[in-house]
Amino acid sequence: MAGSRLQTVGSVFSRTRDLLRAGVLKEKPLWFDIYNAFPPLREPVFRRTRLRYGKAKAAIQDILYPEDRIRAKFYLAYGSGQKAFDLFNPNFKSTCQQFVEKYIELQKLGETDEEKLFVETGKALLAEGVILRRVGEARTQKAGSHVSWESEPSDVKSQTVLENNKPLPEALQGQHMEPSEEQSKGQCCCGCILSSGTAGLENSSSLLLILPCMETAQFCSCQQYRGMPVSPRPHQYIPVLLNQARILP
Amino acid sequence: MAPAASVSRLLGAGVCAGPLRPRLLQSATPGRARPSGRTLASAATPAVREPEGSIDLNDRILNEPLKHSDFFNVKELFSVRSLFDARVHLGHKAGCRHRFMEPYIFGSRLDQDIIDLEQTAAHLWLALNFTAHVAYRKGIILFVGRNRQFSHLIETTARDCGEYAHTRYFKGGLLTNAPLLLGPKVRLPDLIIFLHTLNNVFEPHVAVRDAAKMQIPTVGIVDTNCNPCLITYPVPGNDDSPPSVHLFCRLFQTIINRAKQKRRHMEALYRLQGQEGPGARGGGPAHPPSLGAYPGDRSSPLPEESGSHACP
Repeated sequence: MAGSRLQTVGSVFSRTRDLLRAGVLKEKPLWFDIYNAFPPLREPVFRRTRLRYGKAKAAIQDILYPEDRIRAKFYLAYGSGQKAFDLFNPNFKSTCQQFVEKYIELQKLGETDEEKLFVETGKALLAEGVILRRVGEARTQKAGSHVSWESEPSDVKSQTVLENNKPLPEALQGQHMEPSEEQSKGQCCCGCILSSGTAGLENSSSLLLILPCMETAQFCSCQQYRGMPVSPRPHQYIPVLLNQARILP
Repeated sequence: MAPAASVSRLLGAGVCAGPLRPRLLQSATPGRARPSGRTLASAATPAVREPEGSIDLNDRILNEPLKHSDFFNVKELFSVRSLFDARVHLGHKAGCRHRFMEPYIFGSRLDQDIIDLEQTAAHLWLALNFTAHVAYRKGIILFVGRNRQFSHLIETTARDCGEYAHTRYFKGGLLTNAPLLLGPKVRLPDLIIFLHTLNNVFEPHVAVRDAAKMQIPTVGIVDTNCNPCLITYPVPGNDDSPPSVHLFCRLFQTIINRAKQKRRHMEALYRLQGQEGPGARGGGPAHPPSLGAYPGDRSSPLPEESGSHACP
């Protein structure tokens, strides 16, 4: 049976139709009438893939919602939610989603100030029994200065990460440490903490100072003190209230 | 199942074993002078009327479905909501996106492409309708997919609807050099359905290009990293998630079975009306048990001679 193997020239249909018209192909194929009656939305012609050059970009929009702003602030403050996501349940509401809904509810009542709304939503949720742990309370000893982070909530891409991403960046962002703390809080290579002065630590009264090892809270003799933040080993945490800490100048 | 049919339904053997039997191509043109062997039972007394009647019957059987907009009631099989629940809208990350898939993408949520399900629904309707018509006309359908996770599913789907599948290594020349590889006088598939357009190294499957070469129409599930150009009826959708692939397999299986059942009904109906003679009124189908007995398949009313069938 005659045929045309030029897949780059026209569509399957156009080639068959022309072969039939020319009389080269004697019998109409089975699918010909069906294609005639129900053609596809786009004729299947071959197209060469060409790269885009310069600044040309695909015209595909990002899908963003107004609730994403609220979600960004939530994750900034609280890190990833304490409740694990149950994806098997189609009607599952995460902590963040509950927060967002409550926020919108309160917003509709007439409140306009964003920070106030935020705080009130937190309070409302706590009243309902949802646990919300602020990230800043748990990790104060990391010097936020070394981690330069964009803190605009409108930059959703960096902050509205999916809930199961690691909360570490948000944790670092969430604390209220001043950049001048870098001399006062540093960690030696052996893991003991050295701190001098309490100047910047008075920002938040609820801050906890965490000393990795109480017994070696003296000046460490090792010479490799850099003041770089080191991720603390969990078994060394001993949360101590601020005014009771032995802080050496 | 007839022994000849079972032999020809070899699955997954790496060989398109179906068309091994030499078969005359059943022509779809109704205007042939030579009557088909089926309806012409005995060219007895009405020598003039019988051949014309048989051609007419064949013509009617083949052309009747094309006059209706939705002869096989395809649109009741799925909805945008059911596509969403099966996660058909989830595409790959933006870096994997193929340029020609951009028209079918709704947007990207945190860098993951979301496929526009309105367009998918329209494309899927066309694809399923085409498949149904091909199955109705007794075309050979070949399921192709190279994703190993769903290899078994595709093969069982093909077996359950009485068609063919090829989910193993595709030998070069299987379609283009078929007389050498499969034997002389091999009938090639009339439709190829791709559950996965890419092969295991993320390149377009060879069968896409070869089907275009051999003038075989194709239906394919194209994900955001696939090239939809050469596929006759592309269906933009997710081809990686199990619920999505299961849904598509189920849809194809249902529609092919439905189309074959419709064909049997139509033949029975027209044969009955042919036997009673053209003058006698066709008093309805005499085989009610066979009509509408397909479990899970609502029987659509068959077109009657008298009235014009109102499209559903």
